[in-house]
Amino acid sequence: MSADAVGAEPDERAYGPDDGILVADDLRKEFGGLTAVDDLSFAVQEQEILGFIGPNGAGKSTTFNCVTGTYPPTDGTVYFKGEDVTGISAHDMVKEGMSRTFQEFAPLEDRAVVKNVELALAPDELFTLSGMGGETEQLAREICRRVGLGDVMDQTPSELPHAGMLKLELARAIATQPDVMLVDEPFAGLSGQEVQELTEVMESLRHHGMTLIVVDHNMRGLLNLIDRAFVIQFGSKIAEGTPEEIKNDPEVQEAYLGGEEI
Amino acid sequence: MATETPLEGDVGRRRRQAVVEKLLLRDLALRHRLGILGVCLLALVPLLAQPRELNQFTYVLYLMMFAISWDVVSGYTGQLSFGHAFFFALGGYGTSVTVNQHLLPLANDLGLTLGPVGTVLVILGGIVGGTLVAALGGVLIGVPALRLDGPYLSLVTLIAPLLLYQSLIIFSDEGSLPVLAPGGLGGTSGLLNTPPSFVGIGGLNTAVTVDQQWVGAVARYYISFLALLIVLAVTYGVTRSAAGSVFTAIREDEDAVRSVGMNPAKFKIFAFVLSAAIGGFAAAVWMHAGPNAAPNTENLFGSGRIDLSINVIVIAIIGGMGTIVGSIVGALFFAFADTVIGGLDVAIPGVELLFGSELTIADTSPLPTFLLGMLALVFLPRGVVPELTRFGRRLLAWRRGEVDTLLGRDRSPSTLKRTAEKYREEIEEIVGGESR
Amino acid sequence: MVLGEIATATVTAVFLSALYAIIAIGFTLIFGVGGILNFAHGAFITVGMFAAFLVTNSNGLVELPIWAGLLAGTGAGALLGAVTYVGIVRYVRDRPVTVLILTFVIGFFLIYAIRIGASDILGVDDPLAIPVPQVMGTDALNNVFILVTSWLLIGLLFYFVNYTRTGRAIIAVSQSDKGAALVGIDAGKINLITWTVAGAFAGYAGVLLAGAFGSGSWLMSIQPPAPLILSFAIVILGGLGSIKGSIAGAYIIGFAETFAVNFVPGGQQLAGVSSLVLLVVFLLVKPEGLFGRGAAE
Repeated sequence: MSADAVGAEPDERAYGPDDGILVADDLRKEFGGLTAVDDLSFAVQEQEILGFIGPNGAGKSTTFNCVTGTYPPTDGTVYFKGEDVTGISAHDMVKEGMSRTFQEFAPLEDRAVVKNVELALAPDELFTLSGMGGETEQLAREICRRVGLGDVMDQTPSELPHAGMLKLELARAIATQPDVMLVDEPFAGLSGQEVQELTEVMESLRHHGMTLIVVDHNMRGLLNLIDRAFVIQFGSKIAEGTPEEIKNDPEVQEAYLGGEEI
Repeated sequence: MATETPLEGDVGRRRRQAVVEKLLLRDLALRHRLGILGVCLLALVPLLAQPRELNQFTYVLYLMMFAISWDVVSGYTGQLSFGHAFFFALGGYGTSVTVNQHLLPLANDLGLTLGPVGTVLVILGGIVGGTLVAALGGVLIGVPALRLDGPYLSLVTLIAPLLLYQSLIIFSDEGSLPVLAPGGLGGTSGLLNTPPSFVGIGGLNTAVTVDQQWVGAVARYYISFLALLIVLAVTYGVTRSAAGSVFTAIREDEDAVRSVGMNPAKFKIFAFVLSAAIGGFAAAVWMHAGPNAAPNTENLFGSGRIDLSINVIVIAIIGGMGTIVGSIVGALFFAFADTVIGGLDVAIPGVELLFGSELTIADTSPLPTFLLGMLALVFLPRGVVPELTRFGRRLLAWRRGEVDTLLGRDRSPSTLKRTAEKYREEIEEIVGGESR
Repeated sequence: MVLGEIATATVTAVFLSALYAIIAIGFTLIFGVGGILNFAHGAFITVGMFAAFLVTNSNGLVELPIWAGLLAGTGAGALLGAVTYVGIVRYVRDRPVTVLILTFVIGFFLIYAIRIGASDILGVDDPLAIPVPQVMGTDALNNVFILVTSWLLIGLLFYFVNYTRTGRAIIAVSQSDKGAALVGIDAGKINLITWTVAGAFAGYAGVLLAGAFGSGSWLMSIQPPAPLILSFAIVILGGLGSIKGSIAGAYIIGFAETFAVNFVPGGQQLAGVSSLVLLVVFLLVKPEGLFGRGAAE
């Protein structure tokens, strides 16, 4: 009788701070009369790569804007590493250990790629010797190499192709040494080979201890990468499970009917 | 833990060592060596100039410091200040009031007669007081400025000196401002009792008396030069460190700064306070060491209440915003232009015919320098120093055979151009729709 | 009787506000249409005053009655607005930081030129007191004149903007440059018209302001009542780019200032400075304004 079907997870379960490294409990965000995030709950496990999937307008970006501190949620709680971090500011979230990349790249055009990464390594101090001695620069260079920007790190961001900008975003986020990193729509506009390269970088990051959340509306590139998926539409969860389970979930297929490929 | 330095070992020690190495002038890039050469040349000026010229040139040192003060906040963090004289006035009046209305009366009450050392100490106390007052002014502007954007910020900075000016008039009389300035603020003619100077021939009101004009002039120059070195040391220390790159990052994109875990507000306020302190410090020293220095509105605000505020902007624009060196070069250029124009006793043709009185080019000051500033803004937005640096680099690269031609279009756009590009992109995004 | 005092103050406030409205309207137009905060606005006002002087004073060019002065001032303002746009602003319209600094420096360039012109060329004794006569013989009549023309002109502007083709084109451009272009409106031409009209209003305001105060001054844009700052205050208070909002803002500030001066102890000191103080307070407390887009981030 009670169909314990895959995807029909008990939504009423309350998530607590210890259910994962990043936990959202009954998250709600309203803009005026519009509900963008509708009592959403999820838990991200340490060192997993979680895919956060949904069609355009489903509320993915809004959810994570609330989580990462761009704006506070209307209601609900966010727990990070066991602590309640609901509503704290974006830069404090980064300090706590949660970084994100941005879909709308905004690299600093007035400086080279490597300098962009160096900024992310700057200490939050007014009086600092950091910057003298060249150590930070060396580290920045290393990070650039690791994400595949080795050849272009002395150019300005405006000279980078789309894939390069993405890698810069990643490098900047990595430089803040996050425990959890949110990657926002990384595969948009990339060629097959670039997708593969990026997947390898992210796998490597996970291997080194990072937890990753990848947000995207296109499942194709994603399903090879992620361990687990969480699908949302209209601000609510519609499915959760392994990539295989998700692919076969009828609700998910309906949400994407006529839309993106699965 | 995120954003702690991931570097290995005793980073602090290695960095301190690096700073020491730099101070010992080892392994410096060419442009740094040129800079040091320039500073040495400035130090040698008194050997080349007459006392009267030296007095005029001393003022240029203060222009440099004022412009550096402006550049720290406006050039680096992009918070454009249109009324920077606010801080200069706070510093100048601050020290005068501290010395003449607090410290000297205190010494009197205590029955002390101040010899040279005592007077110098009192003067230093005044300078500290002036700098602190100005720094307070920096907080007063910097904190509200966080809530404001672009032009509205600039507007508030324009209003601040106007309000201060009015306050000087309102509280001009003795007793109108009890605890803070018992002697009053002097109104538009300024405080009539000039504060003591470091050096002078007068005997009264000076710490050290000398009997020859030129000795006094040289001494004043070197005191001012010392102040400049202090200002340079402080600003260099801040802007060449990681904090400096955060400043410029704030100018470019505050969200980018937030996204790497730093709070722009902290840095923005700091920039204002630092800028204010530098400006106030310079003005305070000027009151005690400068040629013809007196705490009045003409000096500290410029004629018409806004002259000085505009001049520092013009200087920094010509020399190069967001570089400290630009202010130095810009001030030299500005002073040079001003002197040249001042000497142009050439009547403008036609004016006498139409209006019956003569107008020489010299009479039109300060218009020519404003014009230069406007032209620089439109045609040379980067400023002299960055342009020269880039030209120099190209020259070297050309000689090394790395590039074919000496002149070429530069790819990386100027600060102003980038800001414009950003605005245009944003507008196109709104109007043009998603293009992904 | 307190009631009598209040009545008098109200009347004064109404007259003052009418003048303030004329001062601010040109500024609003330019901002509404081009998104440009014209820091040279105070200079346009000063130029209007100076043109009136030139045309009504023996030290000037000719000595004609004040009506000619009014025309000259308005015309000079209009011309200046047009020239500023055509000669400079339209080339740098896409560089907001440059426009900001440029209009600032241009504004002060102009008023310094006026100072030099007045004292060095024309032999005016004190450029801080450039004589400009009132339009009407008595203070009371003058005030009425200001009030009447203020409403008349603003009414005309309203009609123009809402009921004529060109006027509606101005609204269209103020909402979207590109959108307007799509329906065939030439943004350049509209901007030119806007700057000209704004300049005309500013010039007219300058003549009235100088007359009401007895004389103009080369620094009048920032000396009390500091029309440059006042314009900002009114426009921000009323919501940027909204004509209705600016009028409301003018009346709010006019009333606040009059009542503060008359009823707050020590209020005389505040005359003309209250706009500065109000502006700062307002920017800090409620930068969104009453009606339109805000100054806050």
